[in-house]
Amino acid sequence: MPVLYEAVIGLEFHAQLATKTKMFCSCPVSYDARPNSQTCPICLGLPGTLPMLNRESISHALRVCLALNCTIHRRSTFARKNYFYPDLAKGYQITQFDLPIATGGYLEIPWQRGTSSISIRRAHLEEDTAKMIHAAQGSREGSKLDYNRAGIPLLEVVTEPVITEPAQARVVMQTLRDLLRHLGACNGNLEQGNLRCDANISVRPSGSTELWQAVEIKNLNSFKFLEQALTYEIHRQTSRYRQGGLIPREARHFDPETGNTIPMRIKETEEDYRYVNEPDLLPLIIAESWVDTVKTSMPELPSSMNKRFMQQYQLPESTTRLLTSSPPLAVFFERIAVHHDPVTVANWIIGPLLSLLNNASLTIDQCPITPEILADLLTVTEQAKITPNQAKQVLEEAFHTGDPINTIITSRNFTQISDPLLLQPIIDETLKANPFLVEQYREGNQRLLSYFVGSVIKATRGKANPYRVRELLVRCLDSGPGAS
Amino acid sequence: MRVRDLREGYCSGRLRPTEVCRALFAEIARQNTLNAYLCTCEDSALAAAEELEQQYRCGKDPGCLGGIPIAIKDNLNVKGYPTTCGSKILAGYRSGYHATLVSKLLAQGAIIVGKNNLDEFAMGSSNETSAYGPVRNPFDERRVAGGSSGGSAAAVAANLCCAAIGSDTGGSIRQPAAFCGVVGVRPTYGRVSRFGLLAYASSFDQAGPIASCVEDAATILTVISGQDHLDATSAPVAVPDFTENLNRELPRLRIGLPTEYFTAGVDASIKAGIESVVDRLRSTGIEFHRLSLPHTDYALPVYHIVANAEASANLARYDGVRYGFRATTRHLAEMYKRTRTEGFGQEVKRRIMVGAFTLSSGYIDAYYTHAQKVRTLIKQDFEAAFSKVDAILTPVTPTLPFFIGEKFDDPLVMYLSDILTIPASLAGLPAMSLPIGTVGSLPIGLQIISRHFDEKLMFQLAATIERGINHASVI
Repeated sequence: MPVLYEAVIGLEFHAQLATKTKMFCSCPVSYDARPNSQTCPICLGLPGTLPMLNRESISHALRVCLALNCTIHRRSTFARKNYFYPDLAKGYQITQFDLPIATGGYLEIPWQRGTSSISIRRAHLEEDTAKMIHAAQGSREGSKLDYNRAGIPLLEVVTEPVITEPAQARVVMQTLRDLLRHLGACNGNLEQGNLRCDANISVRPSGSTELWQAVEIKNLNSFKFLEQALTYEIHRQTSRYRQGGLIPREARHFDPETGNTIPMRIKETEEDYRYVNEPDLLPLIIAESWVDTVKTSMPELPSSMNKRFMQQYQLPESTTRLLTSSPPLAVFFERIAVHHDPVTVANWIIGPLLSLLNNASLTIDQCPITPEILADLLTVTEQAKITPNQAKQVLEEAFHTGDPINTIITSRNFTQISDPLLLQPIIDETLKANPFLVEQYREGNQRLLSYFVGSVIKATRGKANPYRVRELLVRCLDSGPGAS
Repeated sequence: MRVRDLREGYCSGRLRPTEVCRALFAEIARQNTLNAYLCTCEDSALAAAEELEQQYRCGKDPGCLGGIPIAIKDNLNVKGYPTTCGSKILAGYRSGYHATLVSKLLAQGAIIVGKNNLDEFAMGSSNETSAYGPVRNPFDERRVAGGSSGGSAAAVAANLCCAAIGSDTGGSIRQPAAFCGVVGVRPTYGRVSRFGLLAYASSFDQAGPIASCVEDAATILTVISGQDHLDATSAPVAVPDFTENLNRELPRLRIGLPTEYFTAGVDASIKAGIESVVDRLRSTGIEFHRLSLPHTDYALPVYHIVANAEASANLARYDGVRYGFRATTRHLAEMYKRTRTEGFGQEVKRRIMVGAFTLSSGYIDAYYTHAQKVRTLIKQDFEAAFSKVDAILTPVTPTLPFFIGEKFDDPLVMYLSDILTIPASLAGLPAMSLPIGTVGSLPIGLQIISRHFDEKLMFQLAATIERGINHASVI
């Protein structure tokens, strides 16, 4: 029996904050400008320049840290992280090391029909590097640098290694992205590189509490790639251990073509960043009044939405926590819940809809079904026009084709037969065809009722209203031997 | 050349900025053996001079430095002109912006005449590490002008400008000022914006005036001081008129003489010169107190650890990627190595490596972190001293200006030249060098150290001494 292994995953995110100007200079933040057109002596690291701190970036960071329930450190400091690379103009990155702006906290994610609380280790501010575009292999051209990105404010958010599955990691990234957008702190456009993810992953025998050597996978900038890379890596590490090998410490990156992770170019020695306090910046002191101002400008946070949903919609906490773990999901729910029974709406979202989204690796923002379409479907089911089973199928088709509800119902010829005059003959026939089972039912085997219901529905090719059928069957079965 | 005299000349029409400039540039060319200038700004200077002449003619006041020729040490950015920092690694680099202090000078009508030679990246005490040749002392061209602002001090001493702006990290304004017999002022840390000053050691660097008299230094410091939003370390402290009290009688002062600065290591003739000034002052009723700054011995090693650590990061940007010299090679790592190996001089490389070492994992606590703690002790020595006295007087240099090449081969011996100026830098205190006479034909200087932001008193004391000074040879 092979040893079972479990994965231990921690994620490190870099979110570009949605400020008007860069972290340490007044260059505008722009994603589609001509290369090297949004630069100045400061972000180019020209001789003699000094950084000047962008207050808006702190406000955005505070917003995120408050939403992540972190401990905000009233006094934090900036540090220099020293290394040489062409995309790093000064030869050091201004970041935070010893005293970051926030530590602790958690992110609540929707997970397995409930929620999961992902602990946050820390959040800190730093500046982005320039964008480097490498020349093709064997080309005579050199690599190119675009400093428009250099100096854009980043908030680095690090989770504890508490994530256990690649799918969960994906949900963490999706939920964080949704939250950042909801707060207006980050545009969350992955193609633009607004949110980047590095993953640290190790495996260990199931149930063990030891931490084995983790491997870093860098630059996972799509939800899909994150999940694929982690899946591959778990397999790779597990196989290696099973063969009696070891996993060395290294950084790898993901190749979407092959679906594999491959090692990054090996460095001769491990990088020593020689962190030192940034002498050109004063310690960041965050007054209570600043935090208060940020608090008043925050949109409704998941935690308050949660309380409100419980009260307003009379839903159990397990349901509200799930719905509010993603602000866009909560908004989606509310759009429909104003007109329809909240419990029904919640069940449709948590059950079939999230299931469809999950299987397609989509977030609610990308959901092909709008709240209006789902509302249409609920109306139709409330009117008992189609069966619950048919409704599920309609949902699925609407999800994949985008067709309106009524169109699908018509084309699939979905209707629900609820009229007793139409159902009774079929019920009679079913019971007549199974006298032995009828007797067994009357002797006490109540579970056979489901079989009868199923038979009638089958006989109607799925169109019988299951509740009405059940009702009528019970009346028949209990009224006396021989039916009719 | 004094500001007062030039201004009077311009206002009365007796002198014209264009003439003064032309004469100056001719003189600079004539005295080119001093090597005080790395470039001159003739075109812009003469254009500015024309403009200022117009203003004077119309009776408009172009500013308190209107038409005053000022030179700038070549580690400060002047837009449109090269900034070499005395190094090959910045060969061909032209500044795209003005240092804040340069803008302030220009706003008061100053004429920037050129960029002064300096020790490479301000690392040196003799202006011998410059990639563009040493600066010679106008008093004796076989001798050094001091460093790292050697070019600025020599230019002022040789009348090749009215005043200059230098920079002081461990003594780089005060020491060359003493060697060249001119006034050199290191302001309180944070007084003058560092935006546009190529950083050597961020928590020490300050730019300051070098001039032929105390009044000019005070005038210029008033102009260039002030909080700058582009420099987060610039102090939110109001800038008074530093010339206000120059001619006022001194209040009853207590002055400290720290025993650690008058040891056997200091040349007897220098000590004698200072004693002479002390005697004169004592006779006017000023109280002198011998006091101790017990951690003085640690100042030199603390400085070399902390300053070089900061420098190792500050000089990382000189990599050939975006500007300056780049070694031609096809591979990135090799490009970095060769650019910096070939572009930097020996002393710079030495300090970068030492600095990087003291920040490296496994050593940072023992060196950098520890040194910062000792720095605090040195600051506290001064705090204690200033609770008893209002100013501190010391020599500036342990020796008279030495010969070019004399100390160059042994860096440790060279570092000792800064032993008397470094402590004030560590504490961020304002300090200035005042010429108090000559020994033989070589100038000597007196250092005045004041409390933080107390430059006004410092200048007042300096002006008093200056007035009473007898420039006869002091043996």
